[in-house]
Amino acid sequence: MKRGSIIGPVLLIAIGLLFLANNLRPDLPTLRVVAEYWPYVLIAWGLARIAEITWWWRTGRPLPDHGVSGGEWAFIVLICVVGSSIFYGQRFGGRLARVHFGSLEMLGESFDFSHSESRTPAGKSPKIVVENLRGNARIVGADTDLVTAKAHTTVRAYNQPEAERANNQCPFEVVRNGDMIVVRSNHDRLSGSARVSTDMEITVPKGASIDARGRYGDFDVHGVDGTVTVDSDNAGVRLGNLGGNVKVDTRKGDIVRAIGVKGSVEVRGANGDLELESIEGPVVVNGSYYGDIVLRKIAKPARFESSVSDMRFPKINGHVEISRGELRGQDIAGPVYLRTRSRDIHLSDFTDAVEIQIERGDVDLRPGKLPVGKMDVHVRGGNVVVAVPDGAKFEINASTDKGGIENDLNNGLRRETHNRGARLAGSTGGGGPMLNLRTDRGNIALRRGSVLASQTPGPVERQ
Amino acid sequence: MTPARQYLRSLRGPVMLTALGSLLVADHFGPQPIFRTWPVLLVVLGVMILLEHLVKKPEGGPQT
Amino acid sequence: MTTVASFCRNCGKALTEQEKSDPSVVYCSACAPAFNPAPPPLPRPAPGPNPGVSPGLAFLLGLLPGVGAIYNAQYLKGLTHGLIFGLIITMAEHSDRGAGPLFGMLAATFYFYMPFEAYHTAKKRMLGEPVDEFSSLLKLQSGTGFPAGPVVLIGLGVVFLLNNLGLLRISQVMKFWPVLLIALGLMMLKDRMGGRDDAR
Repeated sequence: MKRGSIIGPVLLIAIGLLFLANNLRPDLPTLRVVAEYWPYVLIAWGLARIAEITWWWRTGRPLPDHGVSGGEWAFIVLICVVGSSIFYGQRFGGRLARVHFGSLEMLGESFDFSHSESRTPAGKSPKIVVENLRGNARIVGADTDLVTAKAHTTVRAYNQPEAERANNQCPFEVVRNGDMIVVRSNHDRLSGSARVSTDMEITVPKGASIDARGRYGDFDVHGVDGTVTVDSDNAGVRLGNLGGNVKVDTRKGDIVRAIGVKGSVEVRGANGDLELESIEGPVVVNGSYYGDIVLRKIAKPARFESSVSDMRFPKINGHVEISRGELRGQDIAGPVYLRTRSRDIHLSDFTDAVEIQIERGDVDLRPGKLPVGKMDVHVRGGNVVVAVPDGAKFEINASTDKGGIENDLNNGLRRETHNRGARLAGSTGGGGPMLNLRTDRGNIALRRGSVLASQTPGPVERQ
Repeated sequence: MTPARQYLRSLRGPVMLTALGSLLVADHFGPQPIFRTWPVLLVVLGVMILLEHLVKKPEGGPQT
Repeated sequence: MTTVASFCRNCGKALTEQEKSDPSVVYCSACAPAFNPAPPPLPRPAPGPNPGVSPGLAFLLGLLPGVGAIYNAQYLKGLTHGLIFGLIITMAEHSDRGAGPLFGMLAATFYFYMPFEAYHTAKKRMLGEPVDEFSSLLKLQSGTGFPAGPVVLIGLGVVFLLNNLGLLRISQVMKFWPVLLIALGLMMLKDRMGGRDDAR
């Protein structure tokens, strides 16, 4: 008779023991450990099974048809789903945990505690530090010289007394510390297995500057004229109507949005989406973004840096949208510098020079305004299309190592082909800035563009 | 099926499981999230099946 | 030439003459009961013609992902079909410009595959032919000895991985789709020119 694997049952027993331990001794952080390390269980299971099967093979025992049976796969899927939801539920603190677990007895219930409103006189331009490890904080500037703070804490625990104990360990306080006012939820004083998260609403004097710190939870700051700094492990950051400089550093987050900032903006981190609009100071973005980046109306130079990209825009009157495969820019004042690995570039309605270096992607440039600025485009694999208005004056040196060149303009420039590539060089309209267009593999096209380029450029033609 | 082939066949599940666990660890603790790294599983599966095909057939007897 | 076993594979005892003469015996009589490999899985015994099964209904139900297979009592296959379809749709939603249409086409293809497959299986059941759990319209094993399956898997995995890590864009790879048609044609050609292989 074939003997079944012992691993499955062993695992089941281990899980049962873990939950039992958690119920009998809730002070041990068993569930937290499980939530963090459960993927290792899958690895261990896989390796153990490999060892078991190898041993069976070596000792001549009959081998199973499937190393992991259908039932075991179903169990694995269950582990993944439950494990992931516990993991993200724990990380995400109050709100999400509530949604996921409701009042499942094995994971505790949620208890809400409200804190009475506190008012602290602060002067016209205080420095305010907000510390909230878990939970959302909303800070609004107003015509007052008080710091008014309201908060409510959500505790996940097994029973009321434990929840109260946890709540008391983390008092919500507003204290004066030298010339700073600190608003904090004291989650770091928590001990035990309860989970605590605090949502706070703070009204501050308009001239305040804000230093917000957290681990998981959103920060909203509006209507404040001082410097605003946000630092979190995982936060959605929404800022608006700010008079000073802004610095956001989030290790992870779903969105960073700032609309209406008079100072500079510096954003760091690995996030989902980024939206900056109406920024009067320079912008520096440093990090990787899974989602989309939208920059609109940036009056000073904007610079985007990541491990593979370096992009600079001196002034964005219109917008620049960067998604994982594309960059679209409209109404930009140059000189624009773009260096990235793999993206299609569409720039329309720009003035001054453009320098683009990419490895893979198509480039579509439609300056839309005369005079045309200098262009330096080098693409390793991809097409280059440049559409200039009639009457443009420039010199051109276009070459492709593998592909063709089309010239729609009536300027008498001659195209030579050689090997599998082509070259087009010359000057038109009496000469002007140099358009240096080069692709290693792809086609180049010179087209007629319209002067008022307010339409979105069409799709790049591929050959 | 030869023992060697059957061995590889049985190994498929646990190897995939180990790969899945590793991708999840990479998601939780570091480099890349799972929604990007999942194709590794396709590669691992393909390699395992390929190895089964490459194990030499011994002489004689019907093969599965 | 079949090799003849002379000693029990498990305990090493010498086999009797009668045991030796049977080339399929590799264990001695003491060990054999424990080690008899399970008989090769027989196809489910043919239940006889079943007029209650309607291939037309199977086709209609097959328009709902997975339900066609469930109608044919292939529950695991129904679940698998549903999961595959859902997965393709999800990937079509979440992928960037290049891969999206690819997944869309794949989804459409698979969507129409399911009702036809359900129809075909139901017809077989109606006529009383045996069907196993994961019956399929496609020849899933490689008859020609070239392991197309795993190679495709590995290829797909590598392509998607490179796309996800930003090293290669699927839109570039997509240019090569006619290669698939050519490869398919070549494989079919090889099949038909090299004489029919034993069908799966």
